[in-house]
This record gives sequence, structure tokens and C-alpha cells, in this order.
Amino acid sequence: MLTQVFPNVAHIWPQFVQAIWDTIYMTLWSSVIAGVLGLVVGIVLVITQKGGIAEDSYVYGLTDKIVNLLRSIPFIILLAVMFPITNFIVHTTVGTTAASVPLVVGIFPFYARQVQNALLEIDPQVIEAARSMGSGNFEIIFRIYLREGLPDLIRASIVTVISLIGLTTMAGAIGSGGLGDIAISIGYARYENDVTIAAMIVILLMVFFVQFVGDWLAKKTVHL
Amino acid sequence: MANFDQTIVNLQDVSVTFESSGKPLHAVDNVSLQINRGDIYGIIGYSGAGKSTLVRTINLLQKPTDGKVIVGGQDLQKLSNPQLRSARKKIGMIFQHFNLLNSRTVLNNVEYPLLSQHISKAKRQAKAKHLLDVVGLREFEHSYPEQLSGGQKQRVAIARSLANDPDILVSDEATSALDPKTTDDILNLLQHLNKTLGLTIVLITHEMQVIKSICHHVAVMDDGKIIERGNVAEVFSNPQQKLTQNFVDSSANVTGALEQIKSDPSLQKLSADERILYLKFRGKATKESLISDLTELYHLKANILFANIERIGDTSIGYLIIIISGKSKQLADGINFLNRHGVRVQLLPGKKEESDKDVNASIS
Ligand SMILES: Nc1ncnc2c1ncn2[C@@H]1O[C@H](COP(=O)(O)OP(=O)(O)OP(=O)(O)O)[C@@H](O)[C@H]1O
Ligand SMILES: [Mg+2]
Repeated sequence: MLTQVFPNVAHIWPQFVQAIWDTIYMTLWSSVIAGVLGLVVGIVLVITQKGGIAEDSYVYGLTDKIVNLLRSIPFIILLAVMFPITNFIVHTTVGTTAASVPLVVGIFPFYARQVQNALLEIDPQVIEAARSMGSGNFEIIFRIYLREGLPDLIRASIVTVISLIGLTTMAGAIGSGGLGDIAISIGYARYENDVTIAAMIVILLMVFFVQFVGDWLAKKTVHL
Repeated sequence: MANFDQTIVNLQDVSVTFESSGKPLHAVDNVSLQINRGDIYGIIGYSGAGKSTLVRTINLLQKPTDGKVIVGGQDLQKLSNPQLRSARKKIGMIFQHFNLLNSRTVLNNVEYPLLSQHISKAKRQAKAKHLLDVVGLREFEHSYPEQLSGGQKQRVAIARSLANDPDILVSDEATSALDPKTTDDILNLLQHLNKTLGLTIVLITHEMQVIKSICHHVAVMDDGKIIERGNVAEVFSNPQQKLTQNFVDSSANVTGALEQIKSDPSLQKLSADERILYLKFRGKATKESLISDLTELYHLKANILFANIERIGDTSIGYLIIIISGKSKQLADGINFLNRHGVRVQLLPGKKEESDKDVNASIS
């Protein structure tokens, strides 16, 4: 079957499997690092904004501007611009590890905004109630914001991971490896359309999987 | 540190000024307020009067722009952050919209204030369960807030506010989102807590009913200031300010009756020997047969248009709107007679020439 419908895929099968793993690797690592960064930045935005529990117009203004700035750089440009910085951080400029650096920079501001929006959904009156009960800022962050906002945070994470899978394919342009790389450097360059289509199908499956797991988690946590 | 001072809340010249579109907005304007231990102190006023802003200074959720906040003998503004947080634990607070944590069960909600305390989970849960017993919701411990009715949610909020054995409970419109029956239940619960735990309650509302049913003292707030205060029965039986009068009238349904009478065309055309009087009397005057005395002694005819008796604490206040008719000398004597017996008499405009005029003022 595979050899008939996707002859070229069968031909490069080990390479194709490697590409799947590469995409998963990049997505996972970037998700974890960008997830932590985005969460922290998102929380900083929420607590330092006007009326926040640690209101600080200077920190808020600065963070807000950096997030906006990073979000307005097109990812393909970011890949090029990040080149020297990537080299400095991970001592290489090709491969999945190298691609993770611009991926993180490209996605964490997006996630930070998503986190910010998710946390802003929490009724400020509930925060007020927690303050009236003598809760400090850390308690409010961990026991109220992250807890009450969990279903929304999970939904935000799904959207982010799906966007990130999209970005990993774009990173193929700088030889990151992965399905995007294969689709461009083999499917597109050699007119082997079946490779491109196979890569697309696998990517779609990944997206569906993330969506499914995420929805299931979000549902489970509505009453966690 | 034990403190045997009678005054538990002591706000001294507190002002809170907000910046609103460049202009200063005096939400709380130089207010001093002393509340005694064990009191139920009501603060009434219309929306925007500054009630919430004022009570939020009691636990320093709102920092005053000016003035001192002394609670339980401690100057809260001199405390460090951790000290302030401990102080807040002794000031419970409940809200109009309950503000429960939707992601936690009823039991976990009540436990929440104890999480930062160094006590075992078993002890914590035992305490929370006990408090759920107190508010009568033990069987809902594993429910989530959204599965409860408004009244039940407020009970959970009350249990939660008691977790740290507070000395003071601040209630910001806690019954405003509830129906009258549920409101009564919640007020009864608060009164019960006041009696059994000696809990001092500071209660904000815009409903007279709430003040009348449980408060001992009341402050009327308008435009950032306390315009009238004192014992509930005294303030409402003899209001000095127009706003206070409005609250009393609307609560006794007098407002509606007055409007109806003023707009009734048949009552607009009174003959020269008729007067419409609005009478208010309190205490023992309600027990005397003043109206029959009036008609007998001065040979007047009286026709009752509206009557109501309100109980505020243990004082009764009567409201009466009557038409009396008789000779003008007798009418004047009759009004004098009522005044002598502690009845406040207000002449309502029956004919166009006559305007709202307080007869009482000219006599006393
Ligand atoms: N954080 C704030 N910033 C600016 N203005 C505020 C703020 N909080 C309150 N105000 C203003 O202060 C005034 C008093 O508000 P407050 O909430 O204390 O009134 P209230 O008597 O509690 O009214 P309600 O019955 O509607 O709750 C209002 O004019 C309000 O708009
Ligand atoms: Mg208010």
C-alpha cells in the first residue's frame, strides 16, 4: 500500500520516520521551555498591570512592549535574525536543537498573551476575597490564578502547541530537520509530491492528537 | 496581645481619593467611625456613596489616602506585610457575589484560609467540617459552588470567612443578590453568629430591611461622608437628614402612598376646611388612641388614607396619612395636640397654593 500510494516516502522511509521524531522532539522541547517562559511572563503581565496584586507600571510597560515587539517579528525573519544568538546559546546553527531556540523565542510571547488572557478571565473579586483572607502574592498565584485558571490555561496551551507544530515546519527553511524540512527539501525540491502530502498528513494527525488530549484534560480539570 | 478596649474598629479621619479622568474623586471624605466589640453596625447608602471603599479600609484592602485605621488596637498602616496578612485573617469578609473558588469543593473552599497555617490536613478538614455544620451545609461538602443556590453559596462564604476565628466580619452587600426569604435566613445566621461567637459585624447595604432586622447601630452614607449615625431605632424614628428620611419612607411603603395621594385628582381639590396630614409617631404614641382623641376633643372628622406600623429593634414607628376636616381654628388646635403628643405632623399639599410645609418645625 505504502509503496503504491507513497512510493517516494517508502523510498526514504527511515529518513521520514526520523523526521517525525525530529518534529516531536522540537515541539516537545520548545513547548516545555516556551511554556515555562510564557507562563512566567503571562503571570508577570497579570500581576503587574493596573489593579494587579503587584501593580508596577514600569515592569508591566516594559514586559508588554517586549512581548508586542517579539510577536510582531515574522517567524521566518526571526529564524534568520536569531542565527548568531542560537550559535551562542547551543553552539550550533543546524538541526533540531538549534531550531528550538528561535522556536522558543517565536512562541513564548504568543503563549504569554494567551496565559494573560486566560488569567484575566478570573473574577477580580475572587482575588479580592483571597486578599481579604490574608493570602500573599505567591499563594494567590499558585492557589488561585493557576488553579482557577487551569481549564483556560490548558486550552491556551493546546492552541499554542498547535501553532508551535506549524512553526517547526517553517524552521525547515533553516535546515532544522523534521517534517517541514522533508516536505520542502525533498517533496518540494524534487517534485515528490507524495512526500509533501505524507508530511502534511502526519502533521494533521499530530494536531488532532494534541487537540484531543488537550480537550480531555481541560474537561477533567474543570473541577480539579 | 489581649485588648480589652471596647472599640474594635476605629477609623480616624479616613479619606480615600481616586484619580478619575484627571479630577480627584473623594470616594471617602474624612470619615471617622468607631465600632464596638460585639456590635452589628450597618452602613447604608445609595450606590456610589463610598460604602465599599470605606469598609475596605478596615482590612486595608483599600489604603486610605489620609487618616488612621486602628483595628483591635493595632494601627494597621504601621504593620509589615506578613503582620498585615495575619491581621486580615482576623477580619472575615463576605461579598455580594460570594466569590467562591469554583475549582474547589465546598469543603476545600472553607479550608482555603487555613492552607497557609501550619496545621495538619486532618485538623484543617475537621475545622472546615465543623464550620459547615455551623452554617448547615455539611451534606454539601463534596459539591462544587456552581451546584449550589445563591443562599447556599453565601453560607459557604460565611463558613470560609470564619475559618480563622475572626473577631470581625465585614459584609459587603452580602444579601443583595438573594431573594427576601433567603436574605432573612442569611441575616438570621449572621445574628446567630453575632450572639454565639461575639462576632462584631460590619454590614453594608442599600436596603433598610437589612438594617432594621439585625443592626444595632447604623451610619447613613452619602457622597463619601457619614451624614447621620447612631442607634438604629433613634436614627430611623427621627431622621435628621432628607436621605435618611427617604430610606425610612421607602421602607415603610410611605413613598408609594405619598405619590399615589399626590397624583390622585380627587384629593387635589380639597375644600377650605380639609387638610391632608402625614403623621409619624413612635414608641408609646403608637399605643395611644390619638386619632379618636383628635376627633372627639376637637370635633374633627378623620379619614385614614394610609397606615403602617414598622418595628425597628424594639421600637415601633407608625405612619399615618389622613384627611381631617373641621373649622380652621379646630384644625390648628388638633395639629397642636398631635405635636404635643410627640407626633411629627407634615401638611401635604392638597390645594395648589399650599406647598410641602413642615408644621412641626414651626411649633417645636
Ligand atoms: N478603584 C477605584 N478607582 C476609581 N474610582 C473608584 C474606585 N473604587 C471606587 N471608585 C469610585 O468611588 C465611589 C464610591 O465607590 P464605592 O464602590 O465605595 O461605592 P458603594 O457605596 O460601595 O456603591 P455600591 O452600592 O454601588 O457598591 C464611586 O464613585 C466609584 O466610582
Ligand atoms: Mg459597594
